[in-house]
Amino acid sequence: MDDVLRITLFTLGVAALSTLLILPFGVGLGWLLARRAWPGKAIVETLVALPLVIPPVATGLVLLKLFGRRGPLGHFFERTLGLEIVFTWKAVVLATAVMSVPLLVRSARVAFEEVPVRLEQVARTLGAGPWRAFFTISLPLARRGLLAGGVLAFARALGEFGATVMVAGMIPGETVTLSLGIYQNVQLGRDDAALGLLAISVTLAFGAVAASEWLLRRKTP
Amino acid sequence: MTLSLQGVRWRTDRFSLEIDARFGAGVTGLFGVSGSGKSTLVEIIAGLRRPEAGTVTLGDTVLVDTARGVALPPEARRVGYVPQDAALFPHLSVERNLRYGERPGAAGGFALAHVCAVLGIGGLLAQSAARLSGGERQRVALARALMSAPRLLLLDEPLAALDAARKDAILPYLRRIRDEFRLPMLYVSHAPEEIVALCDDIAVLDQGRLRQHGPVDEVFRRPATPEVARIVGVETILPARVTSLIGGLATLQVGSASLTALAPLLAPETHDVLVSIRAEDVILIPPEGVMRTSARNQLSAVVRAVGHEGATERIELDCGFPLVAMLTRQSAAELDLAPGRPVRVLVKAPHVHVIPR
Repeated sequence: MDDVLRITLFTLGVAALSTLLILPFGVGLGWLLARRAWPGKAIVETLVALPLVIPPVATGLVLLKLFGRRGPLGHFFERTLGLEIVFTWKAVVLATAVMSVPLLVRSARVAFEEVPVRLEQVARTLGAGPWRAFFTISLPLARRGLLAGGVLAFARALGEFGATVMVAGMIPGETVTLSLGIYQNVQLGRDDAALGLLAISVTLAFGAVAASEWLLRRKTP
Repeated sequence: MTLSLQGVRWRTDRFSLEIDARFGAGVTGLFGVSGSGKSTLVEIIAGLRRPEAGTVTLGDTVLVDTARGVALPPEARRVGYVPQDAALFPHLSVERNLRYGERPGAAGGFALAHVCAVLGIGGLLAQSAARLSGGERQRVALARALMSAPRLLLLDEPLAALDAARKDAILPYLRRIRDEFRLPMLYVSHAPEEIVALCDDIAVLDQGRLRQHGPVDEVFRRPATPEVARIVGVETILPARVTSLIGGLATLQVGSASLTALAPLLAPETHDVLVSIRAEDVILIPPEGVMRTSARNQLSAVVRAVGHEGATERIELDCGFPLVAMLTRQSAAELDLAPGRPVRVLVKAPHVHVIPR
């Protein structure tokens, strides 16, 4: 298969998988942050926002130490599931997921905050348990913001570089995404190839952001 | 079905609510100014707030008992709740709003067609809830609460967001709910005219405490304390019969007396009404006083009792029906009012308020 096509599909696949993986977590945490007061809330809020503010390479280093073979989590996954994570495609998914989760949680929180609490309360008085109220009222009413957040997280995952390169390396055919490919090609003096990948990156990112804008502006039916 | 609250306590830094009360069948108006704790109390009953102490029971169901760690979640209480803003689900059609809380087969459930007929919303079922007018929204919210087979209805100022004309249009529906479904209702309001038009009993709430609780006419005529009088105003409320209605001017039989009232909105076929006359609107003159006056209503009366309330005097009169007048100390002294003395009563027609029952 053509290298460029393979890198493009790999990048799209990784971004889609990481977005799918963080979706339940991000939406759930967004709701908890918007609606509930719980001990340690401020700490969780800070932890989740951290990847936005510290250098991606630093986040990558933390992941490398945690998920490396001698790291606590890496050791656990290898022993119990036989999973080797670092320097495989799984590490790419891990890095992009961690880097894009803050965007999803923030969007989800704002989306849920815009749903009047009153509606959830009335649903409860009408006999709906907390889960039914969430799935029939909160989720549908927050869906535009959640979709937009998902698209944003997906776009972030498409372009992730710093954390990925730390935890997944730059193994051709195994962990090279569009961003990594651009860097690698420039390093090797293949500027034309780099520019080709750049064009694809820009197109994908543009598409993702346009989709997010469209979802946000679309009128409620 | 009796709703009973015992030692219910709820507090913030600036506000505390402490309530003991029993609410029986019929409609009880929960009356008080904003910040008196009306909504907080209703939310405690609905299960949206947890009191720090106390028990709440509905019939033989314990809703809350803090001593035993019991607090039923709202979905297990079967208490219908209609907030001020109606809180319809905007992403659902009217019909799906109504069916959201439907409990097929539950005792006390009402059929969709019946509820829609009573509230006049049968034609709206297919519409999106987001596109309704203010009055339609409130009727759909009431219907939705009824559809959930509630054992108690909590209405938290359901008319407050509407203008006067819409209010008058919704009140008959509330009366129909009262008469048709025979559910105990707590009706929160800070508008005395709504309470008079709808409620059997009134509970006056002030700074988180229940100040007086009794039949509406009783509480309005004889507020237990000057505080209650200040909150509700003093009013005489009496049943009356319409004997004629011409050009918006109604003639009413009240007790053994006849009164003229302005009632431009009264439906032509109405017979039984309530009249309310605020005590401050009653003018007293000496029995031999002038007869030519613009006041449409002039009645001979006898003073029954005189009571002091701050700078005012509360005069209880008999003029063919019991009537209360509030006068300043000076006026009362000049008229030399004492039990047994005759006096003439003047009330302008617009001050005789006619309320359909």
